[in-house]
Amino acid sequence: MSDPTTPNGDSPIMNDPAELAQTVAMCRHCFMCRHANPTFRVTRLDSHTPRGYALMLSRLQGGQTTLTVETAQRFFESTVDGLCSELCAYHWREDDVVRAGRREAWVGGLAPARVNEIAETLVNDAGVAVRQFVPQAPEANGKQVLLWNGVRTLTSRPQAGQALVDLLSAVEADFGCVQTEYDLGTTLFDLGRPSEEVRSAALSAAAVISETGAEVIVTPCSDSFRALTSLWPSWGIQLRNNPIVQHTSTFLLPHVTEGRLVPSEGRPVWNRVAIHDSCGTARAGDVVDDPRAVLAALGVEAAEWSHNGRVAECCGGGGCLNEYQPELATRMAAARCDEIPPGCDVVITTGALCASVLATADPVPLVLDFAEFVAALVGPKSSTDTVTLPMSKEDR
Amino acid sequence: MSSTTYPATLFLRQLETIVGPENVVTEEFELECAAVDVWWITRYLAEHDPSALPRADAIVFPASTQEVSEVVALCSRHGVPITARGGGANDSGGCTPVRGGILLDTKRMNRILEFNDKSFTVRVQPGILQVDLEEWLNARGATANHFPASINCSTVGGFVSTNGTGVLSSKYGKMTDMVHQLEVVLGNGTVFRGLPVNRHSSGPDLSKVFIGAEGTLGVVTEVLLKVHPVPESRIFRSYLLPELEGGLDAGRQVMIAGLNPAIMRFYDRHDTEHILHKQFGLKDSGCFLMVGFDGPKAVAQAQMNAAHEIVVAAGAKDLGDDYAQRWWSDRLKSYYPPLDYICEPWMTAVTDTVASYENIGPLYAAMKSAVEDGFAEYGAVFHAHFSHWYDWGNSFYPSFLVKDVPEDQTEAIDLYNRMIEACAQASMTHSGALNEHHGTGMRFGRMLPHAYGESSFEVLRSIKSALDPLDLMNPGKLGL
Repeated sequence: MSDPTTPNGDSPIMNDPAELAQTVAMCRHCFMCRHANPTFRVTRLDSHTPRGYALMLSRLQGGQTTLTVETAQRFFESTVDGLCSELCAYHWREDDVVRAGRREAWVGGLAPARVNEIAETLVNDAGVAVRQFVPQAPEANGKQVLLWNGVRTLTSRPQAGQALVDLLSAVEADFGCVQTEYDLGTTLFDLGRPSEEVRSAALSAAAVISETGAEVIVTPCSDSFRALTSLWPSWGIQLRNNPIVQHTSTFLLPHVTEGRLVPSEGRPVWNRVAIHDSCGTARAGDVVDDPRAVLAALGVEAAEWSHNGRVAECCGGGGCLNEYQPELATRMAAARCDEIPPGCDVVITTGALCASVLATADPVPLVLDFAEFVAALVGPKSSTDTVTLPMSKEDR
Repeated sequence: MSSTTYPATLFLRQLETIVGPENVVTEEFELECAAVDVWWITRYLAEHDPSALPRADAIVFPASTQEVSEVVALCSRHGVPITARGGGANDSGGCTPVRGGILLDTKRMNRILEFNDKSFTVRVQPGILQVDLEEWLNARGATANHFPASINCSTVGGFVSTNGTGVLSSKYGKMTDMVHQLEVVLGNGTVFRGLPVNRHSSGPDLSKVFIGAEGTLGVVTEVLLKVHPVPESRIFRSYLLPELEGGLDAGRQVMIAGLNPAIMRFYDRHDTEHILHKQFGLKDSGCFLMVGFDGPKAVAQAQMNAAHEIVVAAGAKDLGDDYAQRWWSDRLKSYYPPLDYICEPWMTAVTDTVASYENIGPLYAAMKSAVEDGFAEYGAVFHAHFSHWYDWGNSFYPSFLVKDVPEDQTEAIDLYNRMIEACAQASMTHSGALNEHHGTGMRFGRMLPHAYGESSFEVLRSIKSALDPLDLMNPGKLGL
């Protein structure tokens, strides 16, 4: 097994002061993407927008001001989900501006305490035992397909992993899970931690994955999908066997269209679902068509949210915001759920974490990860067997 | 806190009891963010001398007319200035809190209250962003047909307060045409509500007093707007004319023929190069003209055919529909950096004006000369396009640009003000308005008494004195 290529562990503009300065200069007086910023939409504060972040960073780096606890806090109240960059006509990387601001906060010792705790945990003890959360996961070594749950999915939405185990078993895939999963570096990256920490986390996880020899990696976790398909390649990390990385929906699609997974009789019937596209799958990974194709093949009408696909609004879980700012994340989840299309029985998400975050909205719609929904529909035994139908939007 | 009589902390506590503690913000960086809008002066100060930026002492986010009324009454009792703020993306310094006090930010007041699909009106709170309103209406087969460049950035209340205009104003009008009824909280906290329709013979339309008042007479708290069904068809065509005069006259003829285009835009050579060449890859030189019609398909096409004849007879080269269609689809793109000048450290301003047809050509020439000849030593550049055409005249949208900004701060700000005044003087000399759709704010406000003449301007002073005797509502604006 060859060593993975040492990654840089930074976003490109963090290494290029001129590019960062240019991005800051472009964003600091521009209001054009503000309306879409998920944090701004709930707080209405200009400091929660790319303009605000760029303005502050320009003043910090120009020596016109020093960072305070309050303004450092602001930099950590973003989901760094990339929506503003996606909507920008010229795709200026405002999420990297936020990471640069966070880096300043770390350097100045002003990162919020809870963020510090999360980062320390990831650096010191990043492993999560899979079997603890997904008891029926088979071993991965020597299998063709690696089911990678994702650390945040394991701890917040393990039923997504279990549902995927059930589905992979149902189609008799040669698959397994590792014993211990590790953060892929995305959380540390999004928190603006030093590149050597990001690199170290990514390398640890890469070693574990490479050891399996898997040719295909399937994951329900949007952070993991983003890491494996977007961040790691940009960091120069290579895996043994150069495995294909697929979201749940992409893996399931041929099995559904070729009749190996069909709706079972007597299972809960959902008439209309709303799909929430996760930032990591849709925006970073361009996984938009496959979830819809799977649903269509299963006879499920999928309603489109008003900002979806590559311009989907974050659920509130981006950059692990829900872990250190749960109240703000819940407000963002509620704002997202306020716009569920009428007549939908269920919300399904293409990121497992999104399901757990959206479920904190009040009132709570029935929210399922994509794997959970398909598993409940096609009948493999799973923890979703006891799911009950939700209130309709009119009843909410 | 800019009150002479009341301790600041107690005042803030009172505000918190009205709107909730989380909706009174005093954090330094938030106040600074709110102090910087699109106006060149605030951007310049943010870069060079942030301590000189006029700032509010607190930002207050009310959620209802009742809360606005209580906040305003409280401020009135204690002499605290109030600057209403919607999107805060004004390019005139309209929301600059020159005497401190509070910024009354309306963005929590963003609800759609009622949609009437028989009369096609919608009642909204003032803090709704136009882009959100438009999206909501589209989902119901309607549209506001109000598409300014700031559609993403600005609120309905802001558009009302500046009498804003969108690109389809030739057919659908300005805010003053779209607003049927306003609810406004006056300087003493009482609530005014206008008549329910805007065409009547029931005395002066008092709602109109507040349209374009830029928050100096009260805080808009509710707006009843005219909206429209989404048109069956919207078609465009573009042309290239060899020179400005011919294009201006062609446009005039289209308007006075009663063809009612939804949009018509005509760019001088420099603007054609700046926007069309860069953004759309247009290679030919000349003055770019585009027209658009919307409505029932057959009607729009007939109108387009008639306009086409007029324009071609004026010597235009037909460019087909591609450029114009792309302009429509990508029209906001030129407002993003790097195409938008605001990302550069240059001195720039838009000095849009409007005048009758016999005056608009000489006005353009005068303003161009005032900038390029009057400020040649600074390498000042001027370019413009003509948009918002009416059957009596049109507006034009000039930008001036100075890349070598004087290093001395006083000199730089003085230069900016002199250029603004030169443009304003060119407008007023040729019977143009000080501003067409951005509002006067801090940029032009001081010249409003001159535009009206002292005795006529006294009318506005009298209204101000009656409605806001303590001069607490957005002080320092509109020349008041």
